[in-house]
Amino acid sequence: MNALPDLEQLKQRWQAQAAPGPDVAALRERVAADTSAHQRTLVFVGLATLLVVVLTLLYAWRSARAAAWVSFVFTTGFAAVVWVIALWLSRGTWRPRDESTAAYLDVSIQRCKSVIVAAPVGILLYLAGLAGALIWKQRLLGVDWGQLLEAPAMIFAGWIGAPLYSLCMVWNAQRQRRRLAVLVDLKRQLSES
Amino acid sequence: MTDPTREQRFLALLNANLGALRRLSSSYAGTTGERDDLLQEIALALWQALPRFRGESSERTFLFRIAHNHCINHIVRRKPVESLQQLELDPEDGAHPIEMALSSAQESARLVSAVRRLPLIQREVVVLALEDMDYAEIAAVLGISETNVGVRLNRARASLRKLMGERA
Repeated sequence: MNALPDLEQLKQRWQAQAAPGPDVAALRERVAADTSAHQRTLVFVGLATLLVVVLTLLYAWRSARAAAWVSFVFTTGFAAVVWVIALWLSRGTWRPRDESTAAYLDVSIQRCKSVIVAAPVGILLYLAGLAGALIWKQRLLGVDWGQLLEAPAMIFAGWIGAPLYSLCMVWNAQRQRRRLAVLVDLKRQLSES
Repeated sequence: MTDPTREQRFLALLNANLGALRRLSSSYAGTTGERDDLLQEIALALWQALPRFRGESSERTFLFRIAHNHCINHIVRRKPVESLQQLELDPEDGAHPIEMALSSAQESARLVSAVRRLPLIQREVVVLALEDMDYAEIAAVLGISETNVGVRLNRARASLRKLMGERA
């Protein structure tokens, strides 16, 4: 049967703690968790991109209209632009450069900054994609603007989706700003100690 | 205008208990930033409350009552945001028996981690006990009976044994 821990011993341990310092172990755990999440997201988005491009290609292949090929070129080009921007924003966020705490801290800070910058960029890309799809339908398929703006797809992806997506991005950026402040403070503490 | 006596009392009381207040705050705060904010709030509250101190208890008990109330308010107000510590406290990894030989710093860290994971009702008693407060002082700070302090403290120690046996 286990005895209760000795209170005097616990007091000694408790009071022996230095001024509560940076949570380095937590930081490392968080970086590892973020890295896994990052990789999973990357695989998911990669597969989704591939699926969209393949579907557009199949549509173009089977369609007799030239507009379908324009759609394929636009989709592929847009996906490529999004990927290039995403990869550019992810510079320095893949993994810590070494096993040091400073490296873990730097990668966490870089990830926060990346998400903060990605918010406006993501919103712009979303709107650009939406605008591109609308223009494609109006110019090449000859759909009337009024009809386009009232279409269920536009209501879902545009009137509801765009503000919702923007809000989510802004909210996430705010969260990352708060986290960034904590991390910068942690870095300051580490450089002082 | 600042009352020099009040200022002296304030600084003396704060400086004498700064380490304990830091430890207390970090038991309730999720991040170092939160802890620092909490410490500042406690210091401000102490400054405001000091003129009301009539010597019904020791100054230390008075200070810890203020600090404890602020810590509880802090928990109530705190948004359930993800923090580094909260992540740290997720009991996901395997067992690390208490008997493992660890350095004293690691042992302290394990204890701090375990204390943060205690239910509030046990945590508030144990953090005061760990600051060398006796049952009467703890009872005065928390506004409960000494018997209740004893019961909660025993439960807290049992929980600590379990938590420290589970995870480093």
